[in-house]
Amino acid sequence: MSIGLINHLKSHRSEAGLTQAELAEAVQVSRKTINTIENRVFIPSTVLALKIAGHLKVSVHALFELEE
Amino acid sequence: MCKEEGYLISSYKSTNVTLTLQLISPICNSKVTQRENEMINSPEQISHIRTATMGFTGIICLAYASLVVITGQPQPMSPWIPGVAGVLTSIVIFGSFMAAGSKNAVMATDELYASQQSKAAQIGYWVALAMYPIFGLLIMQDLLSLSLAFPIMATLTGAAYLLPFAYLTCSRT
Repeated sequence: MSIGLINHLKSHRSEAGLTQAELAEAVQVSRKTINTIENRVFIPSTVLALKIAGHLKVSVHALFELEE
Repeated sequence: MCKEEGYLISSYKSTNVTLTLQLISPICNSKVTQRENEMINSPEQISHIRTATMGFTGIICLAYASLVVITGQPQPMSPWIPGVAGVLTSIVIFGSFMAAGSKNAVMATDELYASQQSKAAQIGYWVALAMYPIFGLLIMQDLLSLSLAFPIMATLTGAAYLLPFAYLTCSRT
């Protein structure tokens, strides 16, 4: 599942001063979903990625990038 | 989410002084009251209940199939047990969702859940399909009677979805 996708969600979330639970509640998913995204176990859909990026006020490209 | 909400909930729980809460923030207080009224306060709790009940029913189904093989009897225990366990599971899950409220229910059925249940359904589908030729061969070779194959296949079909679901939801944290 984690092939080829790097994410910087944890660092951006920490910069925003949010816990996993707070971010999860803001984007209407479970804390486990945020946790699995951060641990590169689960790749979110485009919609969820946009919601997370919007809440953290960063672009999706800042959160996710393809591995070379 | 109101920033003071977390403080208010903990304050409410520790002091039980609702009047103070109302003076501090009447807007947040309505949220606190709503949260307090919900018996299950997080999507994680719903997930745990869902995983535990579905896993338990899966184990019952697997145990039934195993007992049929071990004892050589089509009814090693009451044939209603797997079915009743399934019905009770659905009632418990439905009740937990009702108790948690719509917001928590939505969060507990997010896309990670959809992905996990989809994978479990895929496994269940292929296991159920594979059982037909496997059991067909066993019956043809007179290694298994039809009266034994039927309850084994029926309960394994249930277990083939329920157990992978429980495993996937437990392991991917």
